[in-house]
Amino acid sequence: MIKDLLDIEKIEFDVHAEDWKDALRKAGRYLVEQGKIDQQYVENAIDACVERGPYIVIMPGVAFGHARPDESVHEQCLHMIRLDEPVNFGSEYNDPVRIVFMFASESSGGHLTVMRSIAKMLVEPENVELLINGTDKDKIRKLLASY
Amino acid sequence: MGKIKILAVCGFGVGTSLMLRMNIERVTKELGVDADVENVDVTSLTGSRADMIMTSAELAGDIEGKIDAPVIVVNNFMSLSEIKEKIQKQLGI
Repeated sequence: MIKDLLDIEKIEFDVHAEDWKDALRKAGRYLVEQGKIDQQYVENAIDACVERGPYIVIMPGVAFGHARPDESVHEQCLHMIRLDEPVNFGSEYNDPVRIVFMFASESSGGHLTVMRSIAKMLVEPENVELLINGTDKDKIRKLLASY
Repeated sequence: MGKIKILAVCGFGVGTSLMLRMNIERVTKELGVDADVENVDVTSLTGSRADMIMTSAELAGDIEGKIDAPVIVVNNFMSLSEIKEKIQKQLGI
C-alpha cells in the first residue's frame, strides 16, 4: 500500500514553487525535517535532472523526484506535494508539472510493493485527473489510501 | 517467438524505471509476449544484452551506442496504451 510509505495526512496542497528546482526542494522539505533524508539527497535529485534532463517527469503533470540510494538516505520514504501553480521542468511532452513526489530508498530493492501500488494508481487517467485538478482534498487522500 | 529481454532504464534504476518495468510487465502479459523485464540504471548498461530498451526521451541519447539493441522512447511511463503500441510496433505483432 502507498500509505505504508507515504504519510497521507502530511501531503501538502497549494505549495508555491518559484521553479522546478524549488518544487523538488519543497517536495523534499518534510522528509528532511523528519530526518529521513539529508538536504544533500534533494540536491542530488536536482543535479541528476540538470545532468540528464527532466526524465523524472514520468507522465503529464507528475514528477517523481529521486536520486541514487546513498548515505544521505536514513530511511526509505515518500512525500507528495501539489503546487498552487504548475511549473515547467523542461519536459517536452509532460510539462507543466503540478504533482511532485520525493522518493528515497536505502537500497535498490525493498520498495517494490509500494512502487507497484503507485504505478497501479497512476495508470488510471481518472486518478491522475483527481490528483492534479481535484478540489476535494479528502477525496485525494482517500484515493491515495485505496492503493 | 522465444523469450525476449526488455530493459527499462532510468538514471538510478530504483525509481522511475521500476514503475516503467511494472507497466511493461503488465503489457507483455496482456499481449501474451514471453518477456524478461529488468530495470537498470543508465550507467550500468554497457555489456548488457537485450532485445529492446525502453526509456525516457531525455535518457535515450545517453543509451544509444552503449548497447546493441533498439532504444524505444516512452513519453508517458504511465500510459499502458503507449507502451503497448510501441512494443507491438517493435515486435511486428
